Amino acid sequence: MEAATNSAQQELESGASLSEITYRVRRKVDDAVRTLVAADFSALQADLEEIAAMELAHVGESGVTTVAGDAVDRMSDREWSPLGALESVHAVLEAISVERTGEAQPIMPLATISVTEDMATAMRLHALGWKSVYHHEILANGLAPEDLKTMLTQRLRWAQGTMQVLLRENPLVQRGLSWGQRLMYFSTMWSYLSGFAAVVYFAAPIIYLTLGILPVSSLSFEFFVRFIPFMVVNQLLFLVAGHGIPTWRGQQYSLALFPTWIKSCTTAARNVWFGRPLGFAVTPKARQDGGPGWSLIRPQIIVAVLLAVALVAGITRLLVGLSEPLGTLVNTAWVAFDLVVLSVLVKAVLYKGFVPEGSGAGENPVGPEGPEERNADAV
Amino acid sequence: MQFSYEVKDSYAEVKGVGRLNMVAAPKLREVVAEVVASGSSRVVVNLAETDFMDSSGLGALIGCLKAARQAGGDLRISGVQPQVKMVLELTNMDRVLTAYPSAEAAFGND
Repeated sequence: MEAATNSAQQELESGASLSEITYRVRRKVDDAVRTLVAADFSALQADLEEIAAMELAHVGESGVTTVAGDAVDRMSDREWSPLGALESVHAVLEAISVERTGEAQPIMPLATISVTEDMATAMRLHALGWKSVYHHEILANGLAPEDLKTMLTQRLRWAQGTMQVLLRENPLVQRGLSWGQRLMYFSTMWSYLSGFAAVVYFAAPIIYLTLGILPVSSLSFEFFVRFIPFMVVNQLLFLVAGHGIPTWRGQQYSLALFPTWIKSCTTAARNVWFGRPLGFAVTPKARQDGGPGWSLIRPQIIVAVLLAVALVAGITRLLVGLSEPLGTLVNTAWVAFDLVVLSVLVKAVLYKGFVPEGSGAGENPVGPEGPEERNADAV
Repeated sequence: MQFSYEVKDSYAEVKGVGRLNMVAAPKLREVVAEVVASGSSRVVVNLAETDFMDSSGLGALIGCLKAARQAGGDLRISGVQPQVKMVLELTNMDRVLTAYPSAEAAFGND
């Protein structure tokens, strides 16, 4: 223990990362504990054998009871560690622990109103006046989904949980939250309503190209002067907020996964208002077997086919003089954009799982970005 | 941890108050060795006020059992508290040391 803390002190002075130092101390302590416990049990087992031998001599029957196989592991647990007997060791271990469970105990903040309890709990803590800070060290690695089905399960659960919080504890009316925090939490939840807007977004060019009905009264200067600055500012905001991290894939998924967002809204509303089960699914931790899951994205395939048919219809209508060039051009570009956005799903369906670098890796199409702005865990 | 013992008619009762850990375990071995050496090889360790036991404490109990058996007697335990009970069960040692409700009951039938 002394050696471990001394070397930790030196590393600290030479400026090594704090979390690594404390991790190494803990590892050394854990090893020491295991050695102690293992020594206790081997002495204990020897005693048991002597006792059994005595019984054999006295009463002629014997059987050596053996210590349970996992006894060393169990008895090395931090709570039961023999080293805990030494107050100084106990104090050192407590001091380097990042947990502050004693602080959480009196307020019992853990939210159970949602399947995304981490977010609901964070919101309650913020409302109680606690602050959160960004910590620039990796403390834990999470598992990312390795196939589309798993990813859709995870995203649905995130979205359902977020909608449950919106319906049960609307951040806009939570006392204790600042207005900035209210708007941040609300926008996280609000973003899932985009599934409904996406249906309109896909339907509008299809309706124009096949039937000639425009979603706006005119595609005039008045329209573009409002629309173009909005689009430009929107994209600039992604650029600034992304800090150089590409956000395009997130934009693709936020539109392409519209059936998932719609399902999350309807199931969460049924759950909160009518007490129906959510159909909660734990995200599988390993890649799911089976071929490409085209059926998982049936609604999106139907939309893509309708877009393609509308494209042909629109060009035909233009050629026979049924529609005007500007509207057809704008809507053709719109359809092309939609198809490019949806194409991310083709890549996702065909994705074969993560291959470590150096063995012909493909990039992971299941990026952590999305309208949900959650990239914390894969639970 | 404080130990005390009392020699009764047919057995000796060793009582421990506190945590049976790495610090207390050698003391238990000493006390039981003293009791056995004084002629009482039938020993009951009363754990009614022992709220914690680690692997060294468990090792001491089994060591004491061996000492009692070698002297032709036995060692039994009584008044086991939840954490100690869990340790005995997790390690299989509940099959070696049966827990009796009270010190009187430990040698009650023999």
